[in-house]
Amino acid sequence: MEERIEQYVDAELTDVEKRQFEADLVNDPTLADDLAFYLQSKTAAKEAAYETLLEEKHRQWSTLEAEQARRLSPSTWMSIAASVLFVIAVLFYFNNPFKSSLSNRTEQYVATHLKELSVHLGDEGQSLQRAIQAYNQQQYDPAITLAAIYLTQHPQDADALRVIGLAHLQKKEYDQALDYFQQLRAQTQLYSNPGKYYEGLTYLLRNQKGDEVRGRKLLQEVIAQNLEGKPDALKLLKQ
Amino acid sequence: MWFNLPKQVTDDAIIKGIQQAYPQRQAWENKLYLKFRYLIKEAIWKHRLQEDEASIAYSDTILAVIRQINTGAFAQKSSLKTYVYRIYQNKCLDCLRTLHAGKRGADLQDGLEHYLELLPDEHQDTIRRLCAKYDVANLKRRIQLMDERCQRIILAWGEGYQDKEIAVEMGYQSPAVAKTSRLRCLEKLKQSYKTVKGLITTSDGRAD
Repeated sequence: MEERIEQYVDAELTDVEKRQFEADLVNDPTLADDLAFYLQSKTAAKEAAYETLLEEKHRQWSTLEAEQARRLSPSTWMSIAASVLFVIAVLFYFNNPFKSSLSNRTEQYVATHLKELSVHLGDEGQSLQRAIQAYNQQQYDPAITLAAIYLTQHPQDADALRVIGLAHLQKKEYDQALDYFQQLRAQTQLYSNPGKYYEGLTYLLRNQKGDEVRGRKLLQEVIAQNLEGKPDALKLLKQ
Repeated sequence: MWFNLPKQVTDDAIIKGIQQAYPQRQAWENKLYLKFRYLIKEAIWKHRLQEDEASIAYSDTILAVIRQINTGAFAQKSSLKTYVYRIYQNKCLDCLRTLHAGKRGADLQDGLEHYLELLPDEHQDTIRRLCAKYDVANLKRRIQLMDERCQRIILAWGEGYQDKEIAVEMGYQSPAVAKTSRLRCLEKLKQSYKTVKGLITTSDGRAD
């Protein structure tokens, strides 16, 4: 292949040589054919070189992408760690295992302090004594029945109201418990009335919307008015 | 702040990085690739391309952008993101044209036209007709079938390397020797093309 072809395409010929080359193109079909071949070969070589480079780069970049997906950068790891810490902090804030909510503390208190009631040796009726015994044996249904029988004969009896209310409380029947404690609280003639204190505990245990505020308020009143249950109310609210 | 958030790589940093020499430049080319690779998913959805088609079109785009940065063709009149996006859209459309109509991209035809413009007007049609005799796709397949040395020298020439660079890279005594060898390889290519003009190709496009 004539070197002139490449020199012509690369504009390396003098004006005279260039004119001669162009004149030869008309008269020499082989030269024209060689020029056509040269141009097409150059195009093919450029395309082939580009395709080879593209193939190589594409393979390299695809590997890079896969590699990046496998190996997270330190900053990404730090972001993940920060996110995990944040989630832990949020969980800790809303459900702190070291600091029970007032409701949880009340539940523990009721489970440990109100399991047993003192048996009166006075002249209370047989059924009330049996109701208290049943309560102490954690037989809450018989305790409710026996106390209810006693109540039919003594409708305002504070001990009977207390036993039924507490039995419902232990059974987590908070609405019924509230009913009896509110009756108990309404009694003004008592020297010592735990009604408000029990009502407060019941609200804290039920823990429905607004119950904690109501329960807390009742316990604060127990403390302020020096009512029965004050020492325990103080403990519950101070923790 | 007690930890560093990942910093967004700026256009300026990428451009300056790519304008460096290898191997420093490599890291910036990679950053450019990774920065806009989300466009691949968009193209799959928008142009209904297969993942590998969209992916190779994206690599093609990045390669084109790298070249334009290096030749100074990217004048920073738009952001790198806009620039990459526009080129990628064209590459995707080119890919679709090739897939659906078997048409070659306009840029490939532009190469020949650029050379033909060197000729006087009266010669252009003649040479264009003669060029049609030599199918570029067939020539590419013939190049791939040549011996390794010829293949390398022709690809290096196609990539735009000068004979003096080829001589150094391939161990020729001088640029003149490299040039003679290259022209000899082109002659071989022509003989090969004329001997087996109608190369049989398999379904994957390789020559049999």
